[in-house]
Parts: sequence; C-alpha cells; structure tokens
Amino acid sequence: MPIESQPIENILNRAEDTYEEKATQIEIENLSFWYGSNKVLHHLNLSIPEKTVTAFIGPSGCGKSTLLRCMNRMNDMIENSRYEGSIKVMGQDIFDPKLHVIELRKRVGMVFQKSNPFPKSIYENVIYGLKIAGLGEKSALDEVAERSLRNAALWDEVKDRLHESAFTLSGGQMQRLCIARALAIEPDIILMDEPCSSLDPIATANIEELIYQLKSRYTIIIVTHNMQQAARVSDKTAFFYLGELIEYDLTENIFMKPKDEKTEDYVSGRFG
Amino acid sequence: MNRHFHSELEDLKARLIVMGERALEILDTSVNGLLQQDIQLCEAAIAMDDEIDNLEVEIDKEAMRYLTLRSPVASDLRLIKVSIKTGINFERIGDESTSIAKRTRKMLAAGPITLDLLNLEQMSTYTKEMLSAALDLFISPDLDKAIALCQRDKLVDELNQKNFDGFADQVVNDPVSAKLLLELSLISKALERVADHATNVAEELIYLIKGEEIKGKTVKSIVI
Ligand SMILES: Nc1ncnc2c1ncn2[C@@H]1O[C@H](COP(=O)(O)OP(=O)(O)OP(=O)(O)O)[C@@H](O)[C@H]1O
Ligand SMILES: [Mg+2]
Repeated sequence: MPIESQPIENILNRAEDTYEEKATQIEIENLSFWYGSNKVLHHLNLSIPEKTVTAFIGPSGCGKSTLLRCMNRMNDMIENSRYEGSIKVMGQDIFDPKLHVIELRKRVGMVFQKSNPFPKSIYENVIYGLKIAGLGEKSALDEVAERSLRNAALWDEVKDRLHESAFTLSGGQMQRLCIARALAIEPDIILMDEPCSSLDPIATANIEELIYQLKSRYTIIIVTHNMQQAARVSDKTAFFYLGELIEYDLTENIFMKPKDEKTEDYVSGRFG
Repeated sequence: MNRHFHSELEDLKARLIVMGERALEILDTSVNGLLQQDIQLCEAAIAMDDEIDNLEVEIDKEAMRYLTLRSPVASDLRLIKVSIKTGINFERIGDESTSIAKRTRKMLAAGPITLDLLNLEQMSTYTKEMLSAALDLFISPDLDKAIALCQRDKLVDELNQKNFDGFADQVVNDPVSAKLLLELSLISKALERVADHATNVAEELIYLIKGEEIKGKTVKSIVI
C-alpha cells in the first residue's frame, strides 16, 4: 500500500524492534578445538536461534571457518585434530559416536567460499546429494531439482539448459547452484563460508536477497569479511578474535553500540 | 533491483510525513487558540507537543539504524540526512507552537484580549500555507514549488517587522498593556520562526531532489 494511503496508526504502531528471539537450534557449549597442538578455538559458548541469519565476523585466522566446519563435522577428516565441549543441533549432540555423519550433513548443509560445482550438468549437480543417499525416482528428482533451483533464484536463468555443464555458468550463477545443491537435501541449517567473496556487487546483492528470503525456512550462518554485508543480511552477529568469542548480540547492537572495545575497533576498521 | 531493506526507507518517509502533519496540527490549534481566544485550544496544543518530540526521537533512531546497517548512497543517503534535519525542524515548529499556546493561555488567564492583533492573523495564514505546501512536497516533489515556498518566507519576515513596530508604538500610547504587547510581539516572532522552519524543510527537499545544498545561495543560482 502506498504510504500516503496507510492509516496513520499503522505507521505509528509499527513494532519498534521487529526481531524476536526464536528457539535455539544450535547450542555450542564450552567448545575448544585443536589442530595438532595448536588450540584455535577457546571455550566457545553460543546459542544460535532457528530461522534467523547469524553472521560470524572477525580477522583472518580467528577460527570462523573452523567453527563452521565443526558444526557439520567437516573437520573429522583432518588428522590430529581434536575438540572438547559439545555442539547440539536441535537438542542432539553431534559428536555422539552413534550419530551418522551423513544424517547430520542432511540437516546441516554447507556452501563454500569458492563455488565448487562438480564436472557434471547443472541438473546432476543439484540432485547429487540425493542420488548419493540413494533417494528418489526420476520424476521426484526432477521436482526437487526445479524446486531447489527456484528457491535459489536460479531457475529462470537455467531452465532451458539444465543438461549443460555447470562450468558454463557465471560465478554468481555457480554460487547459486551450490546453494540449490545445499537446499536440495532439505536441510534445516545452511552454513555459508564467505559465499560472496568472488562475486561482483550485483551477484552479491542477489545472494544477499536470497539469504533474506531463505531465512523464513532455514537457519543460516554466514561467515563474511564484508562488514556491510554482515550488517545488511544478518539478525545476529558474533565477533571472534584469536579463537575466542568476544561479543555476540543483535546485529544492530554490534554495529551501533558494541560493548567490547575490540569489537568497536574491528567494526570501525581501526584494528591492528 | 529492489533490496528488502528499501521498504524501511518508505517507512521512514511515512513517519516523517506523519510528523509534519502533527506539526501542522499543533500550529493550527495554537493559532486558533489565539484568534478565537480559546483556552481549551491552547491546552490541546500544549498537549500535542510530546507526541511530536517522540516522533523526532524515533525518526532519528531509524535514520541512524539505516545509516549503520544499510550503507545508503546517493538519493537514499540524501533522504536519511533530510529526515534527520527535517525532523529537527518539525520538532521546533512544535516548540514554537507550544510557546504561542502558552503565551496565549497566560494572557487569557488575565481576561479577554482586547488589543489589536495587527498582522498576526495574516501571518498565521501564510505560515500554515507554507508548512502545508512543504508537506505536499514530500508526497509530490516539485522543484519550482519548493523554490516558490522559500521565497514566501520574506513576506512573513516583513509582517513580523511591521508587527514589532506596531506593538512598540502601542506601548508608548498604552504603557499599561506593555506586558501583553510584549507577549504578542513574541508570538509574532514565534510565527516568523515557524515560517523559517518550513523554509528549511523546503530547502532540504530541494537538496533531496537536486543533491545540492542551497543554504547561502541565491534562489536564482539553484534554478539554473
Ligand atoms: N587444516 C588445518 N590444519 C592446521 N591448521 C589449520 C587448518 N585450518 C586452519 N588452521 C589454523 O586454524 C586457525 C583458524 O583458521 P580458520 O580457517 O578457522 O580461520 P578463519 O577465521 O576462517 O580465517 P579466514 O577469515 O582467513 O578464512 C588459523 O590459525 C589457521 O592457520
Ligand atoms: Mg575462513
């Protein structure tokens, strides 16, 4: 409705703070992590609410990617790595030896910094995860492919070339393809590690808008070095420094009135 | 591409328009309190000021939030600056109107006002017209109308000067009424300030449209 024709009460009574704390989906308790003898995460405690966008920020090497990879146990493959503490996803301890990692990764999808399509068709890329899991008949897979591509705001651009190689896509399109691939397995949580770092401003804006739309259905954690991006897309922001969580709060508080001097220095570009 | 947060700018503008409407309302009420010698209208005007103050705080807060989180540029950035400054001007209009209402209330407490109000009615008509025209500019920006509005400020200044001279002359002839005449002179001054604030708003809107500050420039140089 054009603003001129809205009742004044609507404008005046608009909720001041639109953010409402949602139920916790990921609970990190006292988490520490080592690569060999190098302790890179220190006693992290963090509750991440569902269906929100949480940004992880902090200087290079502070442990953002390591923490992200802990959440779907991608670090398992790294030799000599070990952890202490716990991460619960929807109440379930993800380090529980009885837990199937494949099951976990169905619930916790990941999108990487460099889009990493497989040397296969666009279509094959989207349904790859489902095929691996041995799921679905052809018609069901077609449906999932279309839905995932639509949700990743890519469908219109690729619907006539689904069987061309994924490498014929532009960088921004490839990144959305990787998001579609993550969505195809219908996760609850999507982890994104610098998803826009190699994209131009328009492709970046596209991904940001996509993230905004996806958060009504998914819990999203995004690692970014772009302060403005964190400010634009996230509801909550966590600032890490040297493997420690320095401050975690609503994004507007982090950027308008951070409590810790280190956060203030970092977000205002005075660091180092 | 429209970004999801652009609607926040629409909200901000809507709030600003609401605030401007409230400013017009308090001005109208306080002036009517004087012209109709109605204490109840004075009280009503005085009671309106809090809401205007609150609106200014909210607009400020939203503008700062947008500035921080959305990194606005170009016309979006100009709108933020204009919102903050216009908010201040509307808030001052609220203050000046409150002052008119309080002075009138004080005078009426001592009995009906029998003095000649000189050009006060004419001034208040001009001033209300200016503020109302400034609000229209928010809804349909128009450079020519904005410039015309700025030029009308002079008329109000002249009427204020005439009032001042007239009230001063009366003090000589009627020293008993000196206090009342001083109050009327200050009311005249308050109306002149309201017209200044309406002019400031129009100047902000010219800045929004043209991207140029016009304070300290002649109107001619802007048009070209
Ligand atoms: N596979 C690995 N083996 C050993 N050390 C590692 C490994 N990966 C990361 N590290 C170390 O762990 C620390 C945290 O690295 P991490 O990649 O989590 O940081 P980051 O915050 O994601 O940094 P960036 O912003 O540069 O991506 C660094 O000191 C890094 O050198
Ligand atoms: Mg990293």
